Amino acid sequence: MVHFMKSKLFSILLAFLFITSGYGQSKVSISGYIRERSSGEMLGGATILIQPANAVTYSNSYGFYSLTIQRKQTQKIFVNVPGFYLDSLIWNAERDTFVSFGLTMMPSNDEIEKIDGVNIVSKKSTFADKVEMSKIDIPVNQIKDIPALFGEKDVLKVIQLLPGVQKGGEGQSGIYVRGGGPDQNLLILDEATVYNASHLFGFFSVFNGDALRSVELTKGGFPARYGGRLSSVIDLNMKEGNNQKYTGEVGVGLISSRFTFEGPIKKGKSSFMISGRRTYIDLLVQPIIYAQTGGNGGYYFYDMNAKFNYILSERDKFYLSGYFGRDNFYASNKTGTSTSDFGFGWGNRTLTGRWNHQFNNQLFSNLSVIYSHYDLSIDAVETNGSDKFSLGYVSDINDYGLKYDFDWRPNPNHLVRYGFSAINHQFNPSAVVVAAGNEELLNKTVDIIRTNEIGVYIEDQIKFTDWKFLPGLRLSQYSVDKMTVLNPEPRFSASYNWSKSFSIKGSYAMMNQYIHLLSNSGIGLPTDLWIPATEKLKPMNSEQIAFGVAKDFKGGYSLSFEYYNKKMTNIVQYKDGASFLLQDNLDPNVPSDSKSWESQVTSGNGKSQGCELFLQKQIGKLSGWIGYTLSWTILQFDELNGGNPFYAKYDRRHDASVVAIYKIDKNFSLAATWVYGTGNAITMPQGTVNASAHQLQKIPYLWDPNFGGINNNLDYGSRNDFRMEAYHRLDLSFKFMKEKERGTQTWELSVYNAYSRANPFFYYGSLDYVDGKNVRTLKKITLFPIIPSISWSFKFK
Amino acid sequence: MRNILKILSLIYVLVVVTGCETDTDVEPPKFVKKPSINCFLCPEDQNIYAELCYTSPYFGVLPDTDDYILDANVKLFDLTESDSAVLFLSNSSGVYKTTQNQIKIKENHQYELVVETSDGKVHKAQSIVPPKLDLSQVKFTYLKVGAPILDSNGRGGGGPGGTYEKNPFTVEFYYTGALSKDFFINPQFEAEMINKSKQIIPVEMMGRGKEDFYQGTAENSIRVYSNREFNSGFGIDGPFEVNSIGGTLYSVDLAYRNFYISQGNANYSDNIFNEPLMMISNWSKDAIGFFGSYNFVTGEVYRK
Repeated sequence: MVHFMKSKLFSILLAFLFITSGYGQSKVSISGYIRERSSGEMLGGATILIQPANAVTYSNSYGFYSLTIQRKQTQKIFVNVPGFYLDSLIWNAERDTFVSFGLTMMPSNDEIEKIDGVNIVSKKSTFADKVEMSKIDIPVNQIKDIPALFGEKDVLKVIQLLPGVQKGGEGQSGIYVRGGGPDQNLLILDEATVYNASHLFGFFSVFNGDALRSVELTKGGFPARYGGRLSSVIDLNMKEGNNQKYTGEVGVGLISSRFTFEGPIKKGKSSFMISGRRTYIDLLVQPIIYAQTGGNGGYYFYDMNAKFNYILSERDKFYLSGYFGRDNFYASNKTGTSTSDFGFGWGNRTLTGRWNHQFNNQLFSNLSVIYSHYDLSIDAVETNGSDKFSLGYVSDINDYGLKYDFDWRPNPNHLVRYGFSAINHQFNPSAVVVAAGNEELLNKTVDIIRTNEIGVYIEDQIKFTDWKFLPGLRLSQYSVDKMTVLNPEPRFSASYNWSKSFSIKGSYAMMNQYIHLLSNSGIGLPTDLWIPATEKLKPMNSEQIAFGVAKDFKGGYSLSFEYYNKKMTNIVQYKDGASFLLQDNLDPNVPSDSKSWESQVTSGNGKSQGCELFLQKQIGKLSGWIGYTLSWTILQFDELNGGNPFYAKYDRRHDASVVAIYKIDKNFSLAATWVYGTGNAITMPQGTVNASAHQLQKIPYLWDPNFGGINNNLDYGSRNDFRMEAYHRLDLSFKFMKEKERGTQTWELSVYNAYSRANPFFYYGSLDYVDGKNVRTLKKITLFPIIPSISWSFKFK
Repeated sequence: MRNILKILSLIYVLVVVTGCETDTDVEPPKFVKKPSINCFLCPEDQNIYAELCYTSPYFGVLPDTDDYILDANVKLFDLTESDSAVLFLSNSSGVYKTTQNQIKIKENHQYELVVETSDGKVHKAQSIVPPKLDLSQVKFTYLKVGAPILDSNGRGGGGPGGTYEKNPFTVEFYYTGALSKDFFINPQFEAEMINKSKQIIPVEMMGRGKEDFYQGTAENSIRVYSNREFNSGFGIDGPFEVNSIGGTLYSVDLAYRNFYISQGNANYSDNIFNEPLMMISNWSKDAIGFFGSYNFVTGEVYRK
C-alpha cells in the first residue's frame, strides 16, 4: 500500500483530481440527487433531460446527477426513472444550481408518455439508449413476482433466468456466465465481495431480496471501474432505509421466515434498515431423524443485513452497512457408550463504510472502507468408552479493502469516472487438527498467504452525435510472496443509434483475475476452496469481444441480440483423481506447506462463444421475458485429457428461459417460469480393465495376493464426453394481495416443478446380482419432484 | 385443530423429504472396446512380456471372464540399433513373450512396441530404457530418528506390561548422479534400526505413490525426502539409531511411474467427491495401458 502511495500512478491520480475539481468555470451546471419521495431512497439510473439544450445524463448508483451546459435561456428539466412518475422543473440556467428530485412510484404499469414531442418512457428502461452492452438491471420488485423453490425469492435464481447466464445444475445457485466458471463472477454487496453466495449447497442464495435496492448484472463490455473477475459482475446494493417514516415487512414461509424493518433515526437526515431471515427446517425434521436413527441432527441457515446512513449535508453522506450469515449442519448420535458429534458450517461476513462527497457541481466521489470474510469449518468428535477421537478443519479468507471513486461530468458529452482500489487478501487454505484422547496426532496448518491487489482506472462515456463510446483503461497490480505483476486492462464499448429505438453495439474487454476457486466437478459443495494466484498458478486472463443490436418496440417490447467470443488463459481445474478432501492434509508424511493444494490442480485455457437473444416486455398486464442462448465452451489443459480439447462441464448448447407475469388486477397476479438447458457434460466410465488381466510376476506391487490383486482401472474415454439429460422445469405461482388498515397482506401459492420433471442431480453405477450375473446399471439421483408451497407476508404502511 | 395442522405439516415434510431422492435407470455411455496393453522392459530381465486384454463393459451384464487378446501380432523394435523381435503368444491369458536372446534391452535405447489387433488397427508406443543408477551417488544429508513417543493407551495390540513406541524417522538424501528429466528414481529401501540393547527393527522406506517418484534434473542432484514413523512394538524400546540402509534403487520412465500412480489412485475413482481418474496411457489412440521401462540396482547405501 505504501509503495503504491509513492508510485507515479497515484501522483497522476491526484493531479487529475485537482484539475477536475476546478474545471468548467465558463459554463453553468445543475446537480443534485434523485430520490424516492416516500422513503428517501436514492435512485440510480435515472434519466435527466434538459430541453431545449437537448442534454441528457444519468444518475449514478448514489442518485447523484450533474449536467453542464452553455449559459442559455430558460430550460426545462425532466427526470425519469422506470416505474416512477415523470418529474420536471423549470430552470433559469443563469448560475450553478443544486436541486434534488423526489419521485413518486407508479401504482401500475403505464404506457409510454410523450412530453413536448420527446418520448420519455416512464415505466420501462430502454435497451437501445445505453452505450453499455451485456448489462442488465434486474428490477428488485420483479424478483418477488417470480415463483421459486419453497416460495423463497432468490435474486441469483432470477439472474439464472437471463440469457448468457447458466445454472450449475439441479437446485444449485452457482452461476456460469458466458462459459466462465462460478469463480469468475464478482458478487459485491455494497462494495464488499461475497465469496460464497449459497445457502444449503446452492439451493438458495445468501441475498435476501427484501434488503436489496438494486441488482445489476454485467457480463461483457466491462467498464474500467470493474476488475478482478473474468466473466461477470453482479453489483448488489442494499436499501438505505426509509428516512421519512417507519415501515417494515414480515414473511412466513414453509421453511423460513423473514423480517425487514426500516425507518428514520432523524427524519430526512438519517435512517436505518435491518433485515433478517432464518430457516426452521431443522425443527421440522428433528422428530423424523430421531424416530429413524435415535439421534439428533438438522440444518439451518440465517442471514442478517443492516445498514445505517447519515446525511451530514447536501454534499456529504455517510453509510455503514453489513451482512452476516451462516449455514450449519449438525448431527449427533449416542449408542451404548459411544457418542458422535458432527458439525459442518460455512458463512460470510461483510462490513462497508462509505462516504459520499460532492466537491462541486460536476465532481462527486465515494470513499469506501471494506471488510469481507468467508470461512468453512468441520468439527467431529467420537467417543467410545474412554477413547476419544476428534477432528477440526478450518479454511477461511479475509479481505481488507479501500476504494476511492470519482464521478466527473464536465459537459453533457462526457462522463468521466476514475479511481483506485486496494485489497489485502489473507488466505488460510486449511488448518487441520486431529487428536486421540489428549494426544494430538496431527496438527497441520498451511501458512496464511497474504496478497495485495491494487487497481487504478479511468473511463469516459463520450457522446458524439448518434455515437456513444466508453473507452477505458484499468491497471491492476498483484503481489504475493516474491511475485509482483502489473497488468493493463483496456476496455472499449461503442454504440450507434440508428434511430431512437434501434442501436448497434460492440465491445472489447480484457480482464485479469488473481484468485481461483478449487471446485469439485461432481457436486457444488461449500468445500470449494478459494486460493490465490501464485508463481505456479498464474493469474487468469480473459479477452472478450461482443457485438449486438438492440431494438425497442411499441407496446413496451425490447429485443436484443448479442454475439460474444471469449478467450480465457490460466484457468484452473483439479487434476485427474484429485479430491477436495486434499488427502495430503491428513497424511503426516507429507510436509505441511502451502504446496499441497497446488499439487492437486493444473492450469489451462478455455474458449467460449455464443449468441444470446433477449425479448422483454416490461409494461402492461402481461410482462416478462424470453431468453435463449446458443453457446459452446471448450477447454484445453496439457495435463488433462491427454492434452486434447474437451467440453467444459457447464458447456450448455441450448439454454432457454420463459418468464411471464400476469397482473389480473391490483389484487391478483399469476406468474410462470419455464427453463430448459442442455445437460452438463460429465465423465463416465466406458469400460474397465480387470486386475486379473495383468499378472506379470516381475512387477512389484502389481499383483498382491494379500489384497486379492490390484484394483480395476476404469477407462473413461475422453473427459466430459457424456451428456446428462436435459434439464427443464415449469414453476407456477398465484399471488393474492389485500390492502389492510396497517398495510398490505400477501398470500402466495406456488408450485415448483409443476410437471414433476425428474431432473438429474448426479449419476452413479449400481451393481446388482441378477439371474446369476453381475449387472451394473446407470442410475440418477433426482432431487425435487413437484413441490407446492404457501407463504404469507405483510408489508406495513 | 392444532394437532391436525401439526400432523399435516409433518406429512408434508415427510413427503417432500422422502420424495426428494429417486433412483431411475438411464441410458449409460456406450461401451467402447479397447485393447489394454502392458509391457515393461528391463535390461536385467531375460524374458520380455506383453499382456494384452480387451477392456470389459462397465455397465450392463459384466462378463465372468476376461477378454484376452489371443490373435494379435506383437513386435518389439529397437529404434536405436535397428533391431526387432516378434513376441509370440505364450499362454491363454493374453501374455506374449520373447527373450533377450532375440532382442537385447539396453540402457538409453529407444524401443517401440507395435501391436496389430485382429480388427486391423495398429497400436504403437515408445519407451527409452533408463540407465542403471550408481548407489555410491546416494549422499545422505539428514538421517535421524526422533525422540520416541510412548503410546500409553497401548493401541496396536500386544501383551500387557510393555510399552508401544512410535518413532519419528526423517531421511533426506540426494542422488548426485546424472539423470535425464525424462526419468525418475524410486527408492525401495529398508532401513535397519537398532537400539542400545542391539535389538533390531527393520523399517520399510518404500512406496509407489506419486510422492515416491523423483524426477531427474539437469542439476545432477535429485532430492529425496521422507518423513515417516515406525513402531518398535512391545518390549523393544528406543532410542533408536539408523544402523544401515539398503535395498533397490529403481530408475524408471514416465510410463512406469504413471502405471503405478494409476494403480495407487484407483481406489478413489468411484468416489463421487473425486475427479475421475483418466487413464494416463502412452499408447496411441484407441488403446490403453503402458509401455514402459525400468532399471534397478541393489545393494547397501549406508552403514553406521
